[in-house]
Amino acid sequence: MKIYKFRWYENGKPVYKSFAFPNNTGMLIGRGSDGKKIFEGDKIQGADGKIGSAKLEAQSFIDCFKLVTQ
Amino acid sequence: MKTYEFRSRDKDGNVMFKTIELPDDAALMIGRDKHDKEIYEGDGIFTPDNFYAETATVGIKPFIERCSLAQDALERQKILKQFGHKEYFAGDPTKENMPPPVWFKYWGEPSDEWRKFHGIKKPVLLRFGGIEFYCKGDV
Repeated sequence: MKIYKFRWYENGKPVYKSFAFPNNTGMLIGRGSDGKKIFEGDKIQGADGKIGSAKLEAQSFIDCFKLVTQ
Repeated sequence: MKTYEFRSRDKDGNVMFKTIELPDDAALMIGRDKHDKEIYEGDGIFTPDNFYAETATVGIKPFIERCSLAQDALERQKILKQFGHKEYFAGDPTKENMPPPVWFKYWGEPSDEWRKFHGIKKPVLLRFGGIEFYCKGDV
């Protein structure tokens, strides 16, 4: 299982909640240069033509890539 | 509300989507720092390449185990900036080029060197957002 954990505050106190998903789950990172949604694990292509696997850490510049395959 | 979307595949390869709605201040856990503490988006952290405090984003995920959670560090930076201090190195006043304009209480009592440098005989204890610090008191 893949766990995504979140924290927020209620009345000044932190609230934690975890969500379990199958291992092949990908979180939505953002939208690529063509406006298509890109999830973790998708094949994406940069402006230099190189193809890689989308990772969450690319969130801030995901719009520089386009989706190749899901 | 803040929306997080997930995509999975079942054993037949069918795509399934799931959307989770959380409060606006919800933050995703990015990983664990070098002290094994959980770091969430928006937390103050010290990065491994320098001593500055930054706001944690998912961008730090690849090197999160080399970062360290810096509780209140960003707030302390804001206070220092407000008092005209340009840089802040990991909360250790001995690493400063100039004695900082404020003296955070968690450093202990203000040093004689700091008092002499700023000409402060009786530092005033102030509190901003739960962070206590001494200063000249004329602000």
